[in-house]
Amino acid sequence: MKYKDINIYGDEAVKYDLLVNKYSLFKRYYDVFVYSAIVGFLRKEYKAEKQESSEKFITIKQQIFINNNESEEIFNAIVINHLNERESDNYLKQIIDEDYSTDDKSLKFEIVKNYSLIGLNYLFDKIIGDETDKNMIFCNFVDFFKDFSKIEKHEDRVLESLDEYF
Amino acid sequence: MILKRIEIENFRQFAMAESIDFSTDKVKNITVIHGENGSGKTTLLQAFLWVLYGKINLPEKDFVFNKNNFNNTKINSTLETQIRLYFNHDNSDYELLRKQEFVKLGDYQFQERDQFLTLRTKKANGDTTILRSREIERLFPEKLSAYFFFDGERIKNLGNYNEGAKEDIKDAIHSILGLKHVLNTIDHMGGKTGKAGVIKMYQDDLAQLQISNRLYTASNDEKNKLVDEVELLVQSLTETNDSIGELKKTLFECEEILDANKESKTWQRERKNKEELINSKKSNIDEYRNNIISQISSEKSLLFYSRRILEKAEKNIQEVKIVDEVVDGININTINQIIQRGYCICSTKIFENSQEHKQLEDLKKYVPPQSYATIAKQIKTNLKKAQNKSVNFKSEIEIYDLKIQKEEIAIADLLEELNDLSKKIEKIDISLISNTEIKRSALKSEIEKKIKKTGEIEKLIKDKTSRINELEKKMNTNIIVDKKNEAVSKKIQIVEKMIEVLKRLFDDKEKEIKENLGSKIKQIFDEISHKNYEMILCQDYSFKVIDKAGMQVALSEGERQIAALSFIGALVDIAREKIEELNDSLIETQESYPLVMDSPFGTLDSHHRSKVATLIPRLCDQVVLFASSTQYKGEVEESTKGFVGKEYRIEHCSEKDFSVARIMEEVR
Repeated sequence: MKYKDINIYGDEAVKYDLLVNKYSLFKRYYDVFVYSAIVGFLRKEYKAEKQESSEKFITIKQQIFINNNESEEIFNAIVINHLNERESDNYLKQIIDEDYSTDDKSLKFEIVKNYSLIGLNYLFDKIIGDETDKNMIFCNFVDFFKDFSKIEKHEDRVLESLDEYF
Repeated sequence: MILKRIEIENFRQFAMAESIDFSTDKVKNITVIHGENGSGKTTLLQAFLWVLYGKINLPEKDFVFNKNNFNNTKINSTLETQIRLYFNHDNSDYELLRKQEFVKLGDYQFQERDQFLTLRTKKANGDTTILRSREIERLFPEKLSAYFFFDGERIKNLGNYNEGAKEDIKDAIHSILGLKHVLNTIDHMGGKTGKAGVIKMYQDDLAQLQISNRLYTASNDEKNKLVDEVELLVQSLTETNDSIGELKKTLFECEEILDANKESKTWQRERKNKEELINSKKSNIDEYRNNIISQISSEKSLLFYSRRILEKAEKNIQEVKIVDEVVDGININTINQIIQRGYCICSTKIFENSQEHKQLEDLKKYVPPQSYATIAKQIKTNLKKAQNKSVNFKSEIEIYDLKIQKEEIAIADLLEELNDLSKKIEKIDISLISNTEIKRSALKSEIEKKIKKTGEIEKLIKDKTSRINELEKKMNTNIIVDKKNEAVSKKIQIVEKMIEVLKRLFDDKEKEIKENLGSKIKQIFDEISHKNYEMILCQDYSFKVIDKAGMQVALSEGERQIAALSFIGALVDIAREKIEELNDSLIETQESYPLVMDSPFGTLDSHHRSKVATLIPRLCDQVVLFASSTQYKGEVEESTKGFVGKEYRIEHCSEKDFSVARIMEEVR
């Protein structure tokens, strides 16, 4: 996967700041980014929209993605699943070709980023929302992960179960 | 008492044994002994005093013996003086012998030996009894001797009524009437001034006692002062002890507050411990949280929470048909690099168109991107690995979460306990405790001071009480002294009262006797005096002679002699009366005593000598009259002719250098 430095702007940047710096729930912006991507994918709330740059932003260096191999598999899985749901036959070739191409296009990373931005809102709302009490926020944080399976939309899980059954 | 005989041997001038038998006839009651001047009349009178009392009133008193005899005595030889007096008293005959031995040591040197005094009595039935020598004093009291033995000098003095005479008369009267005893008693008790004698002795005692009393008073003053001081000290001690009690009470209250503070301190310590525990638990929670966060941020966590995605991706890949042989773990770029480098990783050289080169070129067909199946297989393998890594991850978070919950519950409990503790602690006024602590220290210090003070007071009380006890012991002794003091004071009062009574008695009796004496003197003087004068006894025992006009008359010597004899006569008469009156009380006899007079005529003229001589036989039952031959012969002899029972003449002769007298009885 071809990585780039990612700048997160505006409200999302504020959320990153609260989650990492103020409440120390995540050690790195990277973690927020990955979890948000996972949550976004699980919530199937994909929306490709470009963030408007603003004075408030945070940056996630591409090196951290390179240094953490697990994100490669997660992101590949997200992209495979995403493409599988939308383009069926060609998605695998498309993934592989991008990896072996020489241009700097990073379609797969854009897909992940879009999921992450969507997932961030959900994650933030579930963990912090309007809460200001640190303990409560942490409890929300723990509960969030304890109930991680509930992140997926209920109807999706039912449909998926039916698929598995049949 | 009647003098019967006197025997004299070796007594002054009388060198040889001499004797005189006194007239015992009641009418011829006069025994006359006459001789020339210096013949020994006075010595003979003194012989009476010596035999009776062992005394003489003559020059060279020690030379009782006759000097001629002494000279005739050999050295170391003895000579003896003796006088015997025979008298009758109360129908008993007595023989009184006084004998003195002398040892001649040399010329005018001798040694007296023991004197022998023997009194014998011979009853009518002829029985003889030797009496104790002191019986003579009972029979013939020395104190009365002066009123029966009158020498010329005394008679003359009486007539001259000089001071000596007055005292003589006074003494005579006092003795005769027993007033001498009273006076002696008064003198003995109070002396002349009433401040001497027994009173003085008692007063001296009293003075001594008063010194003791002053000591007592001083002791008592000191004791009273000490008692007052001790009372104050005891009061002070009581107050101090009360004060200590109050202070201890306050101290107890303070300690109660401080004990509560101790609990507060415990609570505070407990609170601190709980706070520390809470902090510890919070720290644990933080740690657990960090652990959770770390885990959440870990590779495992990411894989765990993305496992459904991974599973789904794996499933999606499985749906792709992988027909090619798969060469796993190598891609086309790697192969191109090996060919370009010209040797394999196993060091085999790769030459263009060689067998190795052809094999590598063929391998390209089975590695990505030429072989999707290989890529897919790699993806699938990685997904599987990722899934394996996420195993058991969830339980770790839950474990930490449970720990956190446990710690939070514990913290909640601790906070509740802290709250309770804080409420308790808040109830305690810290400033009160601080002030109480200060107050407690001050109280303890004050109590210690006061306890020390009580110790000092107790020591003072002990010392002072000890001193009081000492003083009381001393005073108890002084109380005895005080009782003595009281007794002595009473004695003094008694003695003073006695003196007062005795003086009154004396004054009464003296007044009485003066009146009697004055009357007798007047009577006798009237009989003797041929002039129409009156003799009056004055209060001071002097006398005066007044004429009819009451004017004092200047007496001639003869007239004064008559006055003296009037005195003597009156005194003897009164004495006789008094003896009769006193009966046995004073002299134990109703008998009169003889009157022995030496030279009663003095320088009287013939007329007065006649008058006096007429008076003499009437003065007493027995009279021994010493007179000079010159005075006797003539008017006296004539006047006393019918009253002289015995007559003796003293002859004097000089033998060598010494006088020797002999007594010769004149045959009448």
